[in-house]
Amino acid sequence: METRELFWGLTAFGTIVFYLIGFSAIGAFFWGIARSIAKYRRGRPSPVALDWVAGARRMVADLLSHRTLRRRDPVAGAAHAAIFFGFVLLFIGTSIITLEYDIVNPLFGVTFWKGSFFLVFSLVLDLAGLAVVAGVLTMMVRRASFKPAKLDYRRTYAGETGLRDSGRRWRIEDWIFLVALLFIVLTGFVQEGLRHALEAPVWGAWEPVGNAIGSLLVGLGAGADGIASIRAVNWWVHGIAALAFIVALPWYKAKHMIAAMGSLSTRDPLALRRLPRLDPAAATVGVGKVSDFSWKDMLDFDACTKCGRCHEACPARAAGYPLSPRDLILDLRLHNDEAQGRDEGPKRLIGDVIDPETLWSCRSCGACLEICPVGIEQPVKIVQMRRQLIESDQLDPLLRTMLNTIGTSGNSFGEPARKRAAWTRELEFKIKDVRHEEAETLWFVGDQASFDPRNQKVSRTVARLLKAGGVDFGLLYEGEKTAGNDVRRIGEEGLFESLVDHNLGQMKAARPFRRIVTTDPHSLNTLHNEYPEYGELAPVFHYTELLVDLLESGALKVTKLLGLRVTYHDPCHLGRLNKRYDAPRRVLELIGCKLIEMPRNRDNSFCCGAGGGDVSGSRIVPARRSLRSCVFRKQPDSAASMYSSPVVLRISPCLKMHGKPPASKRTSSSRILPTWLPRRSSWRRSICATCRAWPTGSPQRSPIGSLRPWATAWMPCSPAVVPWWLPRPCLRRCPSPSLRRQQPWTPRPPCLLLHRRGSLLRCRRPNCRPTRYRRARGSASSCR
Amino acid sequence: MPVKQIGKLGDEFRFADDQRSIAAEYFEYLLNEWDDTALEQALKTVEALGGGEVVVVTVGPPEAEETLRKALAKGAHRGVRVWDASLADADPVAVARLLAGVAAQEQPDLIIAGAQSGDQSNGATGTALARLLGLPCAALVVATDWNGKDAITVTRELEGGLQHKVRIDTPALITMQTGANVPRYATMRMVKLARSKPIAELAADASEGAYRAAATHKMFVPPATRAQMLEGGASEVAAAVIKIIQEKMGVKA
Repeated sequence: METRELFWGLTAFGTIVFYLIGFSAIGAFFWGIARSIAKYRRGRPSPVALDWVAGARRMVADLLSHRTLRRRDPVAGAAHAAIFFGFVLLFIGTSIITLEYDIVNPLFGVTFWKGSFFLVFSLVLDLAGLAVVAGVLTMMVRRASFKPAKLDYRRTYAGETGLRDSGRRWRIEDWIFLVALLFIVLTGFVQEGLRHALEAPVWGAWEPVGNAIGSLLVGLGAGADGIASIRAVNWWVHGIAALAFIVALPWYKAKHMIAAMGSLSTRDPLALRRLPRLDPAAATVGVGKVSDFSWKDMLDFDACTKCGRCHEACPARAAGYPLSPRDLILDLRLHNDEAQGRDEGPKRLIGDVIDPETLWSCRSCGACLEICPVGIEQPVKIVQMRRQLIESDQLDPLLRTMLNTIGTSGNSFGEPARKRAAWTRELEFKIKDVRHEEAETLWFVGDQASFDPRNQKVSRTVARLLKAGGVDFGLLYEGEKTAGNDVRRIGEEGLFESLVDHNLGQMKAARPFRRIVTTDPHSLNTLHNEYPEYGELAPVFHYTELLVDLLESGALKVTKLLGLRVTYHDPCHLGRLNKRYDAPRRVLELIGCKLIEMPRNRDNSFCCGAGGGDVSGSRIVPARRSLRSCVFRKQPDSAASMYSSPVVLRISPCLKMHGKPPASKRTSSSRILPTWLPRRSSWRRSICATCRAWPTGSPQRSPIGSLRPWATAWMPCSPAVVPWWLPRPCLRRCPSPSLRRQQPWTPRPPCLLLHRRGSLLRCRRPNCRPTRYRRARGSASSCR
Repeated sequence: MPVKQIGKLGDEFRFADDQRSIAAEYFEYLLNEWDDTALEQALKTVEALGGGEVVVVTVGPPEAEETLRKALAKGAHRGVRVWDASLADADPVAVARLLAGVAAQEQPDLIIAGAQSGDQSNGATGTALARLLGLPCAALVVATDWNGKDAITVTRELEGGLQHKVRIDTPALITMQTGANVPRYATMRMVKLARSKPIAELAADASEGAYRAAATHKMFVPPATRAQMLEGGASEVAAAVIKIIQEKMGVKA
């Protein structure tokens, strides 16, 4: 019956030595794990309750589907899947052999590793090994040749040009990991090949790789003695390499294999949406020393794989703030590896390890949290450290003033409470006061919508819409204070709690209402996720959800379809954090707008910069460029379309952040507005809607997936990017801004554009001045 | 150190019927900015000396306790509140008399007051208190240097960007100018913790309210003055200015 001999040609002494090495390796492995567990145990308990069963279930689903790994980087996801599943199969295979050889056979004299089971087993393991090799090679090529910006450990966002020592070590570590994996699998294949060359089994085709290597060796005319001696040496090389890999596993990058399973299963489903409350028993407020972190935080540090997805997604990093979520976590890990969860050593956590400016740079937009494939909750740790900064008075004077203002007047504008509902005075009707009159819906207005002059206009429009739709709604008037979402994210937990007490008290004292609606995504987040921890609350809705109801039920009728082309910028707190992506889009559809998505939309929406510690819109940490410019610079086409159609469906700090676009940019870019725009970055290469042809432009580096050269952003067929070897006219519709303003969006007669390489785009229409399509320069990480 | 709770008036308010006051509902009450600076200086001094006690004193109604709590939250050790209903519109000298009484009892080494208050801007309470106690006094201080012994070196802010450095014997009284330091932030948690700190409440004699040098007769909003924009070239503007001057001053111009 088909099987193969284990420990071929090994003396009894050799076998004993191998077993001794094997057991000590496994012992060393468990010692490494135990050391980490001891480190975690020095941390505080988890500040939020964990559901282990649901967490473990989700972790298994994450691992099997690889859904967190495939997102926004399918190549790395596929390569990781090949390595992961290959490795799992190889591990299972080795375990089966151990089971038979060391347990079942010696104890019961039963063997099962033979016959057809053996043949299928051999084939599967050969294929698994091939998958690992393919995956590792892909990763190596990706690292060495494509050099994705997110894998660059230079901290250019903080103005550093060189690589830090730690960065250099990380780079070496990454390569050691890849090379070690490849080496183990390759020596295994060589061993198999040597066996095939010597024994030439009849079932050889079931081990295709070994068979091929064996035939190659025989074909090369290697002598049997030579092969046998190589086989003996290679056996030890392969064995020792595999055992060394196991020993080293808890000490470097490979640790993520274990730690990531922990971090994925202890993930908080409401992370950042609902921040943890202060631990009243703790000696320090928030996190000021490394031992103030919870064991879960420490596990998160160890789980980081340096994949750089958070680094790529972080808007603060893109704008040149001194923050990269990846480097923050890695710095914390380095520090904790030194400190081992204790508070010894000369380094202070805040100041020496993490700069306070880094902490203040975070906008709490959750982009890093959303994309992290191993479930690290970076912003939560940042807020925890901010709490300590606030407690020890290490905060910007502007921020201090703002917190004082909120403390005395209950809003960030410093306006007296009695002016809170001043925006309603210009309305033709009076809005109910739920404190005295019964209403079905309470409209929680929020600061920006109450006091910001531009937002006040929007508030009035919303009030008129609700009134027209027959919604029975009321306000709390001066009884309302700011909901405190951003106060809590700044780290002033006490003030947040007093705001919650006040608002909940007002709602309780008011006449009963059935639901809460708000226009402000920040208020929505805290009312929906955080207030219920402090008291009972009616369900909270965004006003767009209400509008969809009104429009679909016919309570509100659209008299004239707008016919505009618009884009929609998902507010982080509404979209990414509360997953309400569709209602605003549906409203746009119902009022007759053609929605053109920006490259970064939905869960990858690019923060406007008004979150976190930036409630007043004041810059606390100076950035090298404004976030606003980044939102648009990276998405020039869509931003232009946004302004060519003045429909913005949000009332939030974000609206204030957008402001108005520079006039020159508006005219020039709206004219060359591409009617073609990709819906999703991964489907970028689609037919140009203007030319009805494949885009002829040269590929630009995609602002998002800088890794995928074939999925880069294909710029529309504008002459500046048409290569010289394609000297053909491009038929583009060239709607002039004035024409578009007068009429709804319809296809325009094409204008003939003749162009040469490098020349300007010329349109024959008299009012169309020549424009040039600016190339998007560089990738996301080098946005200039 | 004496502190005061001030009322910040919003841009919408109405006078009371007697035209001599404004109802409390139009105010937001907060800690006087100058007193906040003084408190910070006191706390810094105590921290630098490594010992000592900061006692905050206010003359104010029960609502002013909130301000004392805020000061206690920032790090002051004890609070004293003096009040009698007759003091509702007390002037600086009346307040200083009461503070002097507290000072006589506490025997402080140094009294740090704010130079003025943000609402009335009399700027007199501190110096009046020094006069009543017979202490050396330095006003508008922006920096202090004190080793806790018998003399303190202070830097005073003068007009025109000048500074005056002077050494005075302690016990002394100094009044702080804003900008001398950055007042610390008291988190709401600290404010809650400060509830356990002691505040002594003293009742003032009802006759104290009579010691006043000023009384409010009437409050009113002054009529808006008009500004006129002059447009045109230099000579046209000059001609217009001459014309206005002649109109306003008649033949004298």
